[in-house]
Amino acid sequence: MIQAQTPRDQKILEGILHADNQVIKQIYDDVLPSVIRWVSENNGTESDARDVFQEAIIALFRKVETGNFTLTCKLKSYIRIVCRNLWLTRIRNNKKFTGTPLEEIEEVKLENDMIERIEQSEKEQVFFKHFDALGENCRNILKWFFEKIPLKKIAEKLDTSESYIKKRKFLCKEKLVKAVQADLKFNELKNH
Amino acid sequence: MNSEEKYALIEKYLSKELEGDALESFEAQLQTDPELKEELVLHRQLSETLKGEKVHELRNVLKEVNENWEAPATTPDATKVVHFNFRRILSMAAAVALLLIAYHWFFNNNLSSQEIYASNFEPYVMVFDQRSGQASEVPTLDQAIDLYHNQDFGTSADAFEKILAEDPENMIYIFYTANARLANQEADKAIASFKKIIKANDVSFVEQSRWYLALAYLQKEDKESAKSWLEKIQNGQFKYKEAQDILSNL
Repeated sequence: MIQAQTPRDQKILEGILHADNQVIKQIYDDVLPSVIRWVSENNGTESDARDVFQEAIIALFRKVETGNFTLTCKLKSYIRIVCRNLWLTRIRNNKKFTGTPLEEIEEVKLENDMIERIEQSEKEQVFFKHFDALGENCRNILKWFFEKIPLKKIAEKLDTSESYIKKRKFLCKEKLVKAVQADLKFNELKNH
Repeated sequence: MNSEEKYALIEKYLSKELEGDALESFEAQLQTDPELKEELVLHRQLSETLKGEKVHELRNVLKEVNENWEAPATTPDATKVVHFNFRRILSMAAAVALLLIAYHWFFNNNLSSQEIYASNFEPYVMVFDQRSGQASEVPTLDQAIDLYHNQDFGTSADAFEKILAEDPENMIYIFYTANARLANQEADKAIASFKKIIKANDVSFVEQSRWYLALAYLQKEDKESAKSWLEKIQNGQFKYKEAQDILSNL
């Protein structure tokens, strides 16, 4: 069950779940300016703030997607706190960072599964980057395969044979795995 | 084992289709082959991250909105919401407080902590409006909320405390109790509750509690403590601008 404190927040959470363009625009207007201010005050740029903001919305989507999420504060506050934690994690993961010592920046408690999501989010960005670089056919096959749609059904969708899909799925996945494994950022994050 | 066979094995293992000897042998191999183990983790993470249409759809929408988004001319204040009548009363109270301050400035030009408190304090606008759901499980919650909205803060705080007795760590109740106590000129009780929230570092109310704790100290004419709490409010946090304004006057 998805529960927010106000009907407005409830509506926004549902909008995120349905990738509603208008709702996403509204969250940008409502929350991003304060995230930009805070990240800029803490050794980041507007572009960094926009990045962590997008990651925060995706992390929130993942929580809402589970169908079991109770928001105990205002949605705006929650998104801001996720953004701050994302930015702090990013600073911590960046060996070259020489700015404000971390102990000077406040951290606020979040649920354990959200912390895990935040820690995974940079890695996820790498995955998406290489996934987006694949051809459309590869992306569709892998998306459906990861969704556990049987290869036979995928073959029907694409009007081809199951054996072709099986081979194609392997080739697409191999391309993706190799690209991720060769990614410098991925190797840096692996060691954290 | 070539790549294709390896992938097939990993996928079968992840979907729990591997059984008997094949499973045992694969698990034994995982123990001795860190590269295989690493690859297994990567396959699992890729599958979890990239599955489903919706996340891809959301990313496309985010990308599009982000490309076209420019900061609005004015940033909406997080607290400007809800309850028209309640806010109108508060606005009138604030206007009266401002007039008093203007008068004082004219004749004395030296603001007391109490006056700074009066011109800045607004009881936190209550956001839990959904009473008929889980809230009604607690018998006096509706009553506490109504009293708060009707500005009968002392009685509202008493009602919230009764609810708290059954659920002593509920930060929402502690926060509204503290707010009602502060509005009822009971700074000491409010201070104890706000500090409890700050100590618990509660995600929902920690920022708001810092602001109200500073106001509680102003109510007590303890400028130094108020100042130290106002200084903890960082840019981007709840009431940062107002905190800076007060600091420049203290």
